[in-house]
Amino acid sequence: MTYRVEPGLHRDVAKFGGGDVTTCMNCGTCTATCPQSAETGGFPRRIIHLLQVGHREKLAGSLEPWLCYYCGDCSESCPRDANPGETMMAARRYLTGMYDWTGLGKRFYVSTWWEIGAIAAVGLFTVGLFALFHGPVVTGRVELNTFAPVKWVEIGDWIMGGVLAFLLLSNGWRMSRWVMGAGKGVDVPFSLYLRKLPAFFAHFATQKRWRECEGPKTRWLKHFLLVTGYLTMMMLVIVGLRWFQTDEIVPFYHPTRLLGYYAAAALLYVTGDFLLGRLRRKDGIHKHSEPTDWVFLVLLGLAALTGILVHAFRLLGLPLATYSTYVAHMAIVVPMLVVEVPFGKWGHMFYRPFAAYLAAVKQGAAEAASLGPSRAA
Amino acid sequence: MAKAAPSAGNRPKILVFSTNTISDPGIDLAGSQHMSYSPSVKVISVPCSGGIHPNWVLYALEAGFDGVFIAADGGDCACLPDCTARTARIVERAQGLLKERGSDPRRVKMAAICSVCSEPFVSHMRQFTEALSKL
Amino acid sequence: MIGKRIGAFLCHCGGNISDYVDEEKVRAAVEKESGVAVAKTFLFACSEASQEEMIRTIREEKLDGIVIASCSPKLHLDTFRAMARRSGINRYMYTQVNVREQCSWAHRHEREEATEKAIRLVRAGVAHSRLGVPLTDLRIETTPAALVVGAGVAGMRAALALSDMGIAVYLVEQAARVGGRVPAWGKMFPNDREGAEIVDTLLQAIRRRENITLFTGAEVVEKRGSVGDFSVKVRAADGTEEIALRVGAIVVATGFDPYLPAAGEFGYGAPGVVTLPEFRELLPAAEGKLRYRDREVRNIVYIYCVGSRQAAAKENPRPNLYCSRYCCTAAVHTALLAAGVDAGVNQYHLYRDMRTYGKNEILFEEAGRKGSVFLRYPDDAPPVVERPGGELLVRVRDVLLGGEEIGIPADLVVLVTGMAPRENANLVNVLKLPVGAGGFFNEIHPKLRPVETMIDGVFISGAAQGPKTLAESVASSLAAVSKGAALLLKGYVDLSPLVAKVDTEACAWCGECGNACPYDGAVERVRQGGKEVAYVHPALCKGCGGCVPVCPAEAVGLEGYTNDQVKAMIDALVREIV
Repeated sequence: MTYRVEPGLHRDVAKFGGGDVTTCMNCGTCTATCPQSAETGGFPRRIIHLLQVGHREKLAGSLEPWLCYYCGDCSESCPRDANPGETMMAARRYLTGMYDWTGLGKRFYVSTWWEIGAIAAVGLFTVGLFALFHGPVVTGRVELNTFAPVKWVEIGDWIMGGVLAFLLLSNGWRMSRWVMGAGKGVDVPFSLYLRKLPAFFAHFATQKRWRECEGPKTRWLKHFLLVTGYLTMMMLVIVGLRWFQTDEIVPFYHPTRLLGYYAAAALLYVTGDFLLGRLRRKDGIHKHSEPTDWVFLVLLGLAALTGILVHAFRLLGLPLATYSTYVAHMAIVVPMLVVEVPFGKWGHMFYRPFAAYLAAVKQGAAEAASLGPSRAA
Repeated sequence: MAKAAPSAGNRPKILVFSTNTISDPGIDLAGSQHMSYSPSVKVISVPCSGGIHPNWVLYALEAGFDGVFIAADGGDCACLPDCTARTARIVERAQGLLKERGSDPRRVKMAAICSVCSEPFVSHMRQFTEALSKL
Repeated sequence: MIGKRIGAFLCHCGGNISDYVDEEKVRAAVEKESGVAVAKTFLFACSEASQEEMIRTIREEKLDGIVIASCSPKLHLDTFRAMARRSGINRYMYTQVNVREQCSWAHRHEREEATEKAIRLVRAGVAHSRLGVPLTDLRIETTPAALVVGAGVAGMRAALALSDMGIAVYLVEQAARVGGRVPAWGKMFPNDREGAEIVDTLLQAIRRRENITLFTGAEVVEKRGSVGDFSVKVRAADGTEEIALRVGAIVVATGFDPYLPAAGEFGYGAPGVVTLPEFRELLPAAEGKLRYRDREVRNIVYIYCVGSRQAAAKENPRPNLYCSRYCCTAAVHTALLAAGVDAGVNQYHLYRDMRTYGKNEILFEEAGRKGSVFLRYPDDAPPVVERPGGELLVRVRDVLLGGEEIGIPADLVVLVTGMAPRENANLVNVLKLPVGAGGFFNEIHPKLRPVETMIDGVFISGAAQGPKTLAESVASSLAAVSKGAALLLKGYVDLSPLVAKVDTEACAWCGECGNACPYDGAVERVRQGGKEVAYVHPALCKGCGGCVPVCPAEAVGLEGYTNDQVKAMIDALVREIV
């Protein structure tokens, strides 16, 4: 059955940002330049062409946008200044919106007001919860665990984690169906999905594929710092909250303090650096920033900043400042997670390694398929 | 210089009918490029290969030439749209006349030589020389 | 022949000849040749001093003819013919023998054999000159007027340019109006000027010229005479009036026919499938939104190379193998106009090779920036236009998707049609114009003589010669003008006397020569000496010799290449050297 293309798909995607898709003359210089596209055969050109033609089905089943780490070489070498790197970025946003079955993702990307509104709403809701249900406010000394008992916060953590995991996994399920459906005719045994699972965690933790991009590895290193900082903080607040959020002032060398400092420093340094980069607009890849890029970075930076302030006020023995900063911190962290992870830019933390994992599964299946008949022959 | 090569006197004598504007420049080019072919090859130039009389071919062979090569205009001919077909008919008629006289029709040969066909010309001369030697 | 005194001059060409040929031996051998009065060698025959010495020798020795053995005639035939004339002998009594390219350079390692060959070649040259006769060029006074056939832009521009040079012009247009295809075209690339406006400007200018006579609704029905002096008849389309004209040159600018797809070719004939010229006619009326049959047009699919670069098929039995040159740019330009009406319209261009050459590449890029999508289809799998459920769908294999087929829903399918040769049987017949492989008029040489035809004095221009853009048409029409005007402004033409001549004693009129001659009117049947013989019109004969081999009586020969001359040359080439 011949696929009926959707004329004007590129106009749709343009609402998510991106380069000038129809300006591209399909010369392929971008693909030739891209250090990632060698084995997967032809991006960014393929993705741009799918957009030009209006092949939504193939686009939905494409892993390529996630295999691009936006080094910007393609945009620099483009003879038409069509900015393929930015188009790959837009494709990631568009795909994030497509995977999300609630439709909120698409809405947040297309409308800044929807996104900011949602963040504000979740933030206010969080503040509201504290306003209604906080514990006694001890003013003599800092008793954060009295103000916000750790067991209640932990319960909230788990509920939120569960919702996020459900959203991400259901979106991932949609993504994998489109992607694996695109490789028609190749049988993928379930065992292969299991055997390739380590690839997901390896890519999640290290972004190792990125290192194949040319040029200095500083962007990868910063990103790696960010991931370690972020993961450390996640471990501290989800698994280790009862040791992390204590009113006892543990010695400086205590693991929770050391890990906390490391995470906060990493997050602050990297978000600050990224924000400055986008403000300066010196590098090609930072020339175009969508509102969603700003929102994500600002939230992350503010989360780290308020987090370290809570700690500082606690050490200084300022109870009211500690409690109010804590509420502010929560009012940033909760919407950041709830809005940005399943519906926004932070989704790439999951989709990228998931794409690398699916690519490994597909490759494994293709290898098996090419081995099979030849053995028979 | 020519060690084992037979002297010109022993090599087959070839008369080439060539054309002023098309095959002549090709044959000239062979000389300009210092390509060599047998000195027993002689050229008479005419305006167009479609204007060669079969009797001339016969006359040349009877006069003592061993072979006649018509360097035809081919598709480049500016004056006769059907030049190649006409030239081919002339060759056929000449061959017919030869057969009538008990001569070998292979003594007449035709090939299109363009204005830059130096190499094809030289290789035609080499092949024709060899072929005539065997007759 | 008896008593003719021939001079043989042998050139060393520095050492280019004498290094490989024993020139003294050649000279000594040639000197003994009967008819040779003098044989001399020169270091450089073409030098001024050598030419002076040769002229002196010609006069002192009272020579009738000369032979110079030197380089290829391509280099110095004219030099030495001019020298011969200066010396007082007929320039056609000069024979050039090529002993450089065809002897010394080709046999550099066989001095003895090369020397022997040179002797034979010079002997043949002597034999040729001994049998030569003095000839004079045929001079024809030219009529300072020109006929331009076709009043499209190319023809109108040609008429104005001829008029500028003081040449009277008769401009004949078959249609009732001037301008040809251009007025219907609307805005034209590259500068968006309206076709009708261009034509109007030219027409106003033509009306102001006193020396241009414009005939519309008229046809050329007869041509007689030859270069410089043609008699032409022009007849009104309704047959009421016929005018006789005398002109010295003819410029043919009859243009093209747009390729018309057969019914069903790419869905042509179904609603929503139009040719590019048809789509162009929809455009000017569109404002804000494009509409076709009262429906808004959201998606346009252009299919390129319709009627160009196509092999013969059931739908188009007459294949057009050529590229039509204008269509890629015209389609891209049309897409820009459509985007100008409605920036949101989706435009797919299905092409084979995008040939928006030269400055037009800018339009191609601009179309991309304005939202046009370009998609290449394989040569062997052209798109298919269908109407499943009443909606147009174009199925196409996308080369960039590895040849995978996609379906593009379309509100309008535009067939980017090429140029076809114009149906012009009458004119071809009247002017005897040579028609090339593609059906367009043929030039003598595509690079070196691009507007001249084998009919002296008849020039071709514009799209009548082959597909061209308007700019290219005008350039070619001005080229034709410059060739025609050069002829007319000089006041005369000299035609080569090396043409066919009939030996009326031997001729018994069988008509074979006339059948063999492709040039209209060159061979005539006349009565002479109580019998019918052939007569060759020297101004119409091209000197190809096509009539020579068909004459059963060897009664027709080309001047300079007569039967006697060729046979004498053959004898001279084989005769033993003693």
